[in-house]
Amino acid sequence: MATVFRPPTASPISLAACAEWLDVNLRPEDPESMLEAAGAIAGLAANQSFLFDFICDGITHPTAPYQGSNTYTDHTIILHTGANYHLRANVWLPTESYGTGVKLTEDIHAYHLAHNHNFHFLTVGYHGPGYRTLIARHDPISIVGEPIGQKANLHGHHEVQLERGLMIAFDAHTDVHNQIPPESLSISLNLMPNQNSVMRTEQFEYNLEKDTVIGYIRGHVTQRGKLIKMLGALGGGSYIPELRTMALSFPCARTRLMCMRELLRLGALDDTVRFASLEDSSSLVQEWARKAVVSATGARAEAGIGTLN
Amino acid sequence: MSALEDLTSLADARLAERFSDTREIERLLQGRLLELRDELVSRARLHFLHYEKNPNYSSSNFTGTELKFHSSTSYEVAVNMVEARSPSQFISTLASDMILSNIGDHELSIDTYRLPVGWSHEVFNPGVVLEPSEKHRLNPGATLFLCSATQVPRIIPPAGEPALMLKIAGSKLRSLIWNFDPVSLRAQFTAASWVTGQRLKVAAKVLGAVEGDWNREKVIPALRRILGDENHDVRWAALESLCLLDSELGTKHLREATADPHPHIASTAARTLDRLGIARA
Repeated sequence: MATVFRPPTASPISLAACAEWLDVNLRPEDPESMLEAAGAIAGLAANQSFLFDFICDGITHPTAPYQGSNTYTDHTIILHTGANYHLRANVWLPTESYGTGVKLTEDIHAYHLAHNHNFHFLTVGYHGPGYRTLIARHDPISIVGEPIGQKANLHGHHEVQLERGLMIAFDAHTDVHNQIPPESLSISLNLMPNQNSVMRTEQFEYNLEKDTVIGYIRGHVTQRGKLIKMLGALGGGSYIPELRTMALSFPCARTRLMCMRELLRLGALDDTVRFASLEDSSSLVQEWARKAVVSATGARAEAGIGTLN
Repeated sequence: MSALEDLTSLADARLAERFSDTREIERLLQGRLLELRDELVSRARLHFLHYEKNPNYSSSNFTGTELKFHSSTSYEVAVNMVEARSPSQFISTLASDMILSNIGDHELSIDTYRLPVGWSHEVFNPGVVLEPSEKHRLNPGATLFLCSATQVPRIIPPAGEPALMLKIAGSKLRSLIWNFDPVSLRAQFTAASWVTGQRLKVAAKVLGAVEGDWNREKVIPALRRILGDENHDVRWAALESLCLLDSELGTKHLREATADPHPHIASTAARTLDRLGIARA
């Protein structure tokens, strides 16, 4: 369950001091380590001037464009990138209407969009009243096969307002939450450990009322899938060897599935990959293999599958 | 030289200053498209090889819909993939002039819309309505030049397939992207065409919320820097924040803003001064 807590009052520390502590002590793949970092993050959050100074220095820098290497959306400010983590500030704006009925901030901030994370992270309220969030929990392992449309079995719903100094440690995959716009501009600080799961697993969108998984949140896995699609449309079968290798051994289940689909589309799904798909470690791939491979490849595949089963 | 090298050296020579005479480039695209496509496939495959070797690989040259192959100060070359649109997806203006070439295997359609006479790119007006213009059918290999000042495209991929286009886009000419409702064709909202503008707007809002013993020596120069931004939306955010932090300084800049080249800033600044009972000059 997401851990909501207010750490003991900390003395303000600089961004450099916080980064120095994290450089030495943070173990990015260990959620416990993130909780151990709460003291350093609380110290940074107690420093109520560093962020404004940081922004000013960025804006008035003589040569570098402001946040030039930031690839997040515009409400995220990258504060520091360490070897195995990064620190960021998220700015939460109240809902703004454009006069034409379009609510500008809704999409940018993904307000009201219930989602999980494919990484664990620590957040602290830094400025303003903070966004409100409804947090729930589920067990993603219990979902077998394609998650979209399935019952999420969310439980433990509770609402939190990320007010100044309050911390939330979110667990990867299991914690689900939405964000409800704050009444006035608010800022949170996030500690984001670099984790392999970001590149290899999915984030999902949920319907809280219907308690279902309703979609994928666009991320690295989706992007990889788009490249597979683009290459498939552009290059036909010229990259079958790479597709085949990835279908057999890539550490992301959905990527393996996308490679298998593409091989099937190209008529290049050989027996080795076909049998591997049925015995894949992921139920997502197995389910597809049972439905799609059998129906699409006909009697020869069925005979092979019969032997395997 | 390879087709891509020929294309980029021709583009270097022809597009260095202005994105206007594109006929030679269009001829090259039409004459050597298959060769170019093979080369793009080889290069795109290299990205894929990175994935195979390193599961954590991520490339800033690939956005999910666009794979960039070459960029210079005056143009960039990329392959764009357009999939079937959601019916509610906005129709958006272009930030730069561009040549699009169909490098897929199937015909694709590009409907273009005309912006009304007198349209002012910098001044958002919800009364602006697009006018349907031409319907282009692009066979594989066909090219189309799109002018960002007059044309708004809507790309319709072939049924069941993504549209694949080679895009040669000139440098950004428009600071705003206008978004239109796909049914009524009415303007809905604008956004900065490059992300730095949006980031500066957020930064200005944050600086306006600074509390306690804030560092005047840093905050005021930073807001003044943003006040000179080319995007009027960013300038206004900086002006609002200056007014919140220092009413005297804010008033001075509000007075100056009554002469801002953007009519929305000039009129809003004047209205604000009137409402506060402060003389405009």
